[in-house]
Amino acid sequence: MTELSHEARELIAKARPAERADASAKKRVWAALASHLAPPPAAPPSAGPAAAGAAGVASASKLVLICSLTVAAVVGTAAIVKTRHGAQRGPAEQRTVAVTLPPRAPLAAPALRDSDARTAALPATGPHEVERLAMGADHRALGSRATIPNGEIARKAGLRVKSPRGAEPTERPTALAAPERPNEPTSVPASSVTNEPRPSPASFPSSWRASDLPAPIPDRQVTGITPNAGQSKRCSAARELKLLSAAQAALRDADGQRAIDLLDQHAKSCPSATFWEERSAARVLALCLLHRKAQALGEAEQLVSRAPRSPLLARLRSSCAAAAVVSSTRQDGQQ
Amino acid sequence: MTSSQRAEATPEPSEARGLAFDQVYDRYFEFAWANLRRLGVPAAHLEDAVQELFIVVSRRLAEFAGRSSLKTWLAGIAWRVASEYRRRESRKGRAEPLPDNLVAPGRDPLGAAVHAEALRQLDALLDELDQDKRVVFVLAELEQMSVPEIAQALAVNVNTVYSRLRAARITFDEALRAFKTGARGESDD
Repeated sequence: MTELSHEARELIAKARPAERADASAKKRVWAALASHLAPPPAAPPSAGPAAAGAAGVASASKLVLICSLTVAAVVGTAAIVKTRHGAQRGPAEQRTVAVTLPPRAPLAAPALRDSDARTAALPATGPHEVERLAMGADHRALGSRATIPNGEIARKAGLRVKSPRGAEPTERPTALAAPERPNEPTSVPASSVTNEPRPSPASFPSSWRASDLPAPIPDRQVTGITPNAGQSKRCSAARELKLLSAAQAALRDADGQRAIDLLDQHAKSCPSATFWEERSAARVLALCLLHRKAQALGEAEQLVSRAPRSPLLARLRSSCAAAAVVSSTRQDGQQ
Repeated sequence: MTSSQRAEATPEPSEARGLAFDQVYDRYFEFAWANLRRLGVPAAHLEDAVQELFIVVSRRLAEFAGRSSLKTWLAGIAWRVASEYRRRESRKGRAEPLPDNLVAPGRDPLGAAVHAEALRQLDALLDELDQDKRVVFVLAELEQMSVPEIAQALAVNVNTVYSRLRAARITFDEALRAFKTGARGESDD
């Protein structure tokens, strides 16, 4: 069978380190996944035929409760209207109306949940009000997660979230508030929230928390490198890298003249190169190889003056131009 | 499929049995990331694609019977996710490519840039392959998966994988030679 060429294998090996994802990407994806993978809160874990039956009974009793409260509200409203209308007739008739209100026995039904009880305990000011409040309670009964769109949790934490199909991936909402629930009663007992099923924290690695994640980085800070506006058209990043790699290979082969030629070519095509420091340091080393110490010292001094904190100076300390680097370090130390 | 091929395709024992979802995520995130990338998912969509892959994994992990290795199973899912992304991309048009002078930050910027350049070349060469050959090439040459494993992941015949791999290697080498020749010509200018 045809084997892959040596060059192709080399290229694959060289590209491999650049393919790795960084740790923050792993955390970001996990955080976004957490918002997707939380279990649906509808049925408790022990849901079976019996549990389903019990749930059916509970929902039936809830329906009965809402109906009875609606009837009560209708009757109550009618009674109030009647009372106001008949206020001129005398207080005895009002007392009779108050007695006709139905008893509130259904409130004590054992199958009621907190949310139902809250609804039932609300003052029955009218049928629409009762219905609206009952719906509000249903919203809460579904749990806060169910009312938050997918990925909202991660977005609020400043994380990147999978876009829905067809959505533009570049659109990043910067500040998303939780959906508002108008007219919701302000005092919600803690039990209504804590009773809802939640994704088990144990199922997520303990070391990954939203608070550990890095803050979103503004787009302009991503690389820290800005393109050179005045760069020659002949100087692409690929060409720059190719010339510098070739120059370094020449240095490794102790071929100072070839290194100088390549660096000259680089300087000509890329006068304001991204890797000018590397070019300058390589030139010093090449001049040393050619025993042109005076020139090497001059080049090193230029590099020191332009980039006094360059990490490449460490390499030059062991070259023939060490004097230029050492003297500059001393000057720094004295200052 | 002949009996010998069937024997060759015998799945290895599953390492996934008993693995929880978070362990699968932890262990195979890098694999999923690199694989989706090599299958042509653009860098801008990579996190979304990985997320989608693991959503599928979370739903289907319980169904995973261990007839193949977990890596093989994931490779199959990655292939489908990547295909879906490509379809979406072709409908919407290609994403804006990153400027090629972006360099990964690090202690050795030149080294990082050399790796990034190699990766860019690799991507360009992989783009020369059609999708069927590309996935076989990626799984064989970059993921070091065996031909029977690839056949299982892609649900195709082993012989088909062999022939696609052979053709993919030839195309890749030719494209690399052409690239080198072109680059040499450019530097001579």
